[in-house]
Amino acid sequence: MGGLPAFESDTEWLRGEGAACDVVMSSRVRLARNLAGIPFAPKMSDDDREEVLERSRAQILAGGVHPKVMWIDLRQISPLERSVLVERQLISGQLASGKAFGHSGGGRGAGEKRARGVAVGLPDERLSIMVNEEDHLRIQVIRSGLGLAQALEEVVRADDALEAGLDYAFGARFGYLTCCPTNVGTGARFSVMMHLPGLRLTGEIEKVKRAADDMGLAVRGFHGEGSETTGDLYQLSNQTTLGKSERVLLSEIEREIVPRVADYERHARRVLTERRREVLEDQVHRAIGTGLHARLLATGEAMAVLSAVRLGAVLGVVEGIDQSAVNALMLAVQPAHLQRVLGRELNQQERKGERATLVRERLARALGAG
Amino acid sequence: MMCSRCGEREATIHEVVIDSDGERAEEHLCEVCAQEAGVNSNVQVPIAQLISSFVVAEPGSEPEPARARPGGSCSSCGLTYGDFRKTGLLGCESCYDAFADRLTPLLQRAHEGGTHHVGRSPARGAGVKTIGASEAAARVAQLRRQLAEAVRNERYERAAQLQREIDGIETIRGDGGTGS
Repeated sequence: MGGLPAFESDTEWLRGEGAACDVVMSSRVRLARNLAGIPFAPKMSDDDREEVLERSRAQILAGGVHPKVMWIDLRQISPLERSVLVERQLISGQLASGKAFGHSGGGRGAGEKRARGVAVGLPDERLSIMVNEEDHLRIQVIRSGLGLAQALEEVVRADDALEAGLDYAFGARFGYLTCCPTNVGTGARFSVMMHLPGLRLTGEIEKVKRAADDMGLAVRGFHGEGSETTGDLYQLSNQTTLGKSERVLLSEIEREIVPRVADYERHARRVLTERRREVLEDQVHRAIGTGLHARLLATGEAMAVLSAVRLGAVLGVVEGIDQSAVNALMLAVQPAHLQRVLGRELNQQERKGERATLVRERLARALGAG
Repeated sequence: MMCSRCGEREATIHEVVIDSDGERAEEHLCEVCAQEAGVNSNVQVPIAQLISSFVVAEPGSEPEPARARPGGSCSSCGLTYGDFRKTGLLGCESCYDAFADRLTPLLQRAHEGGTHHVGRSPARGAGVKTIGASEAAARVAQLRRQLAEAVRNERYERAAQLQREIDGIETIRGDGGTGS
């Protein structure tokens, strides 16, 4: 694959390090910003989009935002390469497709040509800045484990560096003005990706979802809004952005909510190890069996296998698992990464076969049996 | 759940469609049928749908909210309130002023009663105070009322949350938000 350079490290959100990493995969803070004096996405002309892209690119590359940045014009890479960026959580699916935000007309495929880009901080890919998403700028920092405070600090630094050369749309009453009023105010979205297999096995996951809902949090799947849950990964994020400062939002989610959900999950895992050991062992070993022997695996199925293996490793059901290899597999089984690893495009059926082969080989190695 | 078109594959894309009459219909599609139907599997629309469903469902605005309240359009970008209702997206920064009256209750509902920004502000707009003392006081008073009500209804989690928010405003007043 041509346009996209090789990434220098494992993606941050799968490193499996940091606070509470038995339950929390990663933390992300995202700021929505728009440039003053230029219409928002639904009313932007092609020239407006070019201008936003160019001004943002210049400011990002002027230095000060991040020591080493890779700039990618998303019109110049293939759909498959864009999907790789989506799977690495560096861009949204919407930015990848260029699908219109509140636009009408243009027909299918019109999004392809829309001016849009992303800047990725290297080598760790913690920082990414999407340009011409729903808002002109979406600045995000991802940290492994529970690390919203560090992520906020980093994202604020990038925001300040951008703002040094760009005028933001801002009003005293509503704060940072965003295309969708659900983001107005701080424009800040705090999300935590949690691995909650214990709560699913004990049948309590729905309860947690309801509780989160009561607390004004959104619970979403792996790829954010509108996505399905896969591999027992859930994204918790704040829905309120107006009327609470970044620090209040941060403390609510990081100090109050996440630890509580993490404790529920740990309690569920304890119940499983102490009282329902057989069920737990059965689940983990069945998953290993599937992983080691299946000949066709859909993404969701592969993720379910890896989720159970990860749980088995954390709880010591299986000894000596190379956890980082399991984490890396969670990314490698995603459709675009699978094709990237194999170096060619595959249809859905071929992907299932190749995915199963990949899981078989790598899981055997991770289990020390290869 | 199986795909509602082909009935063969597992549905992975769940679409809620709200038509111009405010009718809500759900469609559950597999990846293949979704692609054929031109639905992007990576779309993140639900927020917009949420907003539009929630504007449509706004109590007191029925039966014909749009026509009953012809609200004109934003003088800066030309977006009409009807456009906003369809997509949940605004056209430019001036839309916040143009539709302030109608946005306020909506924002309050979407942001747990929040009506004014608290937190960081652009350094270049130095002198822009994110929240004036009187606004902060009004917000705290409003939160205290909500707190009392939450306690009355024995919603202690909500009460604790409100208390934190009050504390937050009170600490933030004076120092302007997250330091960098």
